[in-house]
Order: sequence, then structure tokens, then C-alpha cells
Amino acid sequence: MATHPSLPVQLLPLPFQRGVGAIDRDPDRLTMRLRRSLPVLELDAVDSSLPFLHRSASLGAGSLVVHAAAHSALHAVNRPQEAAVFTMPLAGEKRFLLGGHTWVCRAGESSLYLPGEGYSVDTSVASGVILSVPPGRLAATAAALAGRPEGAVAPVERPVLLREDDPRQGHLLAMLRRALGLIDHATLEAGARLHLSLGLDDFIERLLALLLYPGLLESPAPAAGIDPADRKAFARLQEAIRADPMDPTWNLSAMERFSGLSPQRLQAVCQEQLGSDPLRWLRLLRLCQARRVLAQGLPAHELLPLAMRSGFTGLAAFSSAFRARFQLDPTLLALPDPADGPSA
Amino acid sequence: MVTLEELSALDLLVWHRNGKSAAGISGCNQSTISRRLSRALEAFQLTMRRCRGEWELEGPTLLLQMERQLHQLGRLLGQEPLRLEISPYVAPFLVRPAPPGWTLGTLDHFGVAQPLRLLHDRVIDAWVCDMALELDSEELPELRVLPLYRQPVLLAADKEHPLARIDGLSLAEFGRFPSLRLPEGALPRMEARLAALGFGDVPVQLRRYDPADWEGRTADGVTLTYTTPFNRLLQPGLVPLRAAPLLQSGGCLLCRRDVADHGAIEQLHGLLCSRLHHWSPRLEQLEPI
Repeated sequence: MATHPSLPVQLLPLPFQRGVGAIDRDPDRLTMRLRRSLPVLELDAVDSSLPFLHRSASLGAGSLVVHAAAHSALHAVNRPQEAAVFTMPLAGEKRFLLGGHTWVCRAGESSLYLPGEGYSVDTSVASGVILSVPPGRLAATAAALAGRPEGAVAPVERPVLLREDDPRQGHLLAMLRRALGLIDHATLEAGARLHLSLGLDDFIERLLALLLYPGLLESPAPAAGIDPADRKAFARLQEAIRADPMDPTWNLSAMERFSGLSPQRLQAVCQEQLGSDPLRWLRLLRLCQARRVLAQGLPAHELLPLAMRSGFTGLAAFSSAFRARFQLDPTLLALPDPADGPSA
Repeated sequence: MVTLEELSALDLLVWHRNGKSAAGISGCNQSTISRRLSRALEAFQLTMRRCRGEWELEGPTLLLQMERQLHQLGRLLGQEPLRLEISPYVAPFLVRPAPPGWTLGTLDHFGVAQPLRLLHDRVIDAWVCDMALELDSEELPELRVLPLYRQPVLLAADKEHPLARIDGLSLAEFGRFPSLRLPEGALPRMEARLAALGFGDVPVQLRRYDPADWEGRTADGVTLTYTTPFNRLLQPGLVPLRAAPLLQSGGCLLCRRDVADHGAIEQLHGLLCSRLHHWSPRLEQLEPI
């Protein structure tokens, strides 16, 4: 993977940027590229004592524009616009300020939908994908998915934070990463015709619609027979597990004991609340936590212990599950062990 | 979330009907397929049940269909082999060897309903149908139909049949012999045409094509069946009876309209046409398009 000595973290490969997108040092060039679809008012490096480095590429497909960029820490201000912005970080953190509220979006933790309001953003060294699409288009897509006439669904006009550790949202975000992963550098060179003809833009828009209108995925049959007290007990259990998902004592029995729910009631309420079974959800939380640990810088020799703490029996199974979820090999995120470096 | 392997286990089981075949294609054992299947069903909150020998899924399928579309895009971009189903009558001519980059299906579908469902659900990427008569493009707006050939469907019988070599008989004169009835609903237009002509009085229990259960029924020397130019080469013990064709049909390649312009589909179409031209001198009354 590409590294640069002046950056505190490695620049990650981007979903559709493998083999293209040379590193550039001019922030104005990044601004110009982004301005093709985003109304960037200003963009500056946060630390002027370090060179500002960035790689970026963009792809227009129908009404959808996809940007992939990896860059040094930056501050940017965007004007209001008609299109909404969906940002999915692959590394680093972004803090968005709009309407007096701060929205934090972290790799492996969350993605953020912003309607066309103006905002400012401060980022760490980061890489990720930004999708730009009219909110009305997503509302029309949602209406089509629901089998309702166009205009029957209102555009989403508020920010929406989408969490990786929510089973339903996490599943859709993983699908979105996989869809973006299908756009490779050959596509950029071919001018996107291939993917337009395959309807990838439509597919991505439908995923975004499902993320923003979760009711589309809900089963029409209401969950019957779930006691409100069970939901409260499950909420307490969620809180406890989220506080430390790596705690090795969490297992099905421990979850039942903590919540006071029988196995059947625990399954039922978990399915209703999260669309998942308890152990699958626990594994998802642990994978997300492992992603965060890796993002903070973990030496490669600590990968196996991390895999074990995450509830996997070995590195291969952990890597496989991690790749399936995040489209990234965990070994690429780990820091090289000192012994692996070039000898003096 | 389901992994690629979990969704493949589900779809290969639906397509190939059993875990053994799915395991063979996936290069794993049956218990692995079973585990992956359980996880996929659980993730999508689906159940499976057998209906007339085919697996059907019950439950909300929107997310499953999204996953399938994503997998199909991946296959079209070369991440995994594409999936081709083909009529058993033409498979020995057109897909031996299998087209490069394609994996083949069960090659035993007698009717059109199940392959159409597999194609519609993106479980398979293309299907070669040899009964184009049964397809109504207005009822299949999401599918692209690429014609391959035209062919007549003729009455046929065992070569020892008393009328096997007699010229100049009308169709009505064969009516006094028993003739095979198509499985109900498998090929509804042909079934209606045969019924209108007075054929199809011998019921046959046949879910999947098996020559022993179909053409094999004519071994009594009296029962009539139906044949096409391809089938004539495959069943040398059968002879077409010297009467007017029962009906005109044809063969075609089908795929979903949204992937029809992809190079892999175009290449498959080209390869099928070239193999068809190779065989056509031996296929009496077949007209490649």
C-alpha cells in the first residue's frame, strides 16, 4: 500500500482508484476537482507546516457523482446546493458543522447524509468517498421501491448519521462499499460507459434510498407478542454491550442473564429491534470495534490477539469477515512491525 | 450482512436444487453449503420450501434482490463465472465445451417457468430457450430476447412404428395412436396447440427432462411424441413422421435487459451463433437467424 513519510497515517487505496490518481500537492487542484459537483467555497490545509497531499478521482454516472479522495487534514466550507452529499469515510474522521450542530463521521463507525445546506468540515488525514445526488431523486427512487407514485415520498431534508454497527444500516453500507468497489480504474479510463450501461448508478441510488428510508425494508407484518418490558430490557443490554463489545464474557448466556430474557424472547426482541440475532449483532459490534482499534494504529503482530478478542478463532476467519464487512484487508490497516522495516 | 459465499450457497442451491451440486460448483463440502445457507436465510429473514421439485423462498426479498444484483454486476465484471442455463435439447450442441467464463446449470428444465424465474431473480445471467413460441416479449418487459434459430416441431415415433415410413398422411390419421401429454403448464402454448389437434392423451409425470421418461415412452412402438431438429440427432431411435409440422417454434438467448449490452452477453451470443452454424448442415429444417 502507498505510504508517505510526511503523513501520520497511511494513505488508503480508494475503491475505484487502484492504479490511478497520482499524489498531488496543490490544494487548489483538489478544490477544482470537487467543484465539478460540490460548491466548495474554500478549502485549506489545516497544518501549513506540512505539505498538503491528496489523490482524487471522480466519476459522473447519470444524476450521481462519485468522488474518491485521500488527503491531508483540511478545512473546507461548502455553499448550499441542490444536491445532497453522502460521505463515507474509509480512513480518518470528518467533523461537519451545520445549523449550529456538529456531526462526526468516522471510518468504520458512521457515514453521513447531508441535504443541500451549506456546511463547514474539518478532517483529519482522511480518505473516503463522497456521493452527490439530488434529494428529490432519492425520494423518487424510494417511492418507486415502495410501489408508490413519484412525489408520494418527501425528500429527506435533515442530516442523517448512518451507523456501521446497526445491522440493517451496516448491511446496506457494506453493500454500498462493494458496489463502489466494482468501479475500478479501468472504468475511469473508459469514461463510465460500462457502469452506466449496467445500471450501477441506479443500484447505488437505490441503496441510498434504502438507507434514508428504512421503512422500505421493514417487514409489513408487525412484530406480535413482544412485551414493552422486553424492549426496555434489551435497550439496557444494548447499552451495556456497546460500552465494551470486546469483553470476552459476552456470549448468548451472558446476554440472557443480563437482560433477564429467555432465549426465545431475546431472539424475538433482537430481531424486531435490529433485524438480526443476538450473536450476529455481537459479532458485528466487535468487528466495528476492531476497525476502530486498527484505525488508531495497531502493530501487525497484535492482529491475531485482536482477532481472538473479536471472537474469532484465527486470523483467517477474522480477515475474511473483516473484508466482507469493510472491503478492506485488516493487514493493510495494521502498522508494520518495527522488525519488518528496512534495516539501517 | 451476507458474504459472497453465503449468497452463492443460497442461489446455487435454488438453481441446482441440491447441496451436493452447489458444493461441487463452490469447491467445498455440503456441510459448508448448509452452514452458509443457514446464515443467508437468517440474514434475509427468509425460509425455503420445496414446490414441485424447485426451491422457493418465502419472506421479504427486497434486500436479497439488491444483493443478487450486486453479485450479478460482479460476475459481469469478471469477479466470478457467469451462470448459464440451457434447454436440454440444445445443450449438447451449443455448450460443449462450456463457453469460456460461464458455468452451466442443470440442463434439465422441461418448461419455461422456472428458468424465467431464475433469470428474473438474477440467480442466472442467461438462458437458452428452445421453445421461443412460449415467450411473449410483451409479458417479459425486463428481458431481452435474442433470436438464434427457427425450427419446426414434428410428430415422431419409434422407428418400428407402423406409420413410421408412410408418406402423405394427414395429422388426423395419427390421432388414433396414443400420444404423450406435456406436463401441465410446462409449455402452455404447445400444450394448447396439441390439444386442439387431438394429441396428448397419455399423461406423463415429468418434473425434469429425462429422455427415458419422455422419448423412452415411445419404445412400445405405438406411442407418439414430438421432435425438433436437435432432438432428432440426439434420439436416433426416433423418426419424424411424414406429416406437416405441428407448429413452428425457435430458439433464443434470454438475459435481463439491463445487462444485455454487456460484452460478456454479446460474446456468448456470438459464440452460440457460430456453434449453431457449425451444426446447421446436420440439423434438417433448422434455420439459423
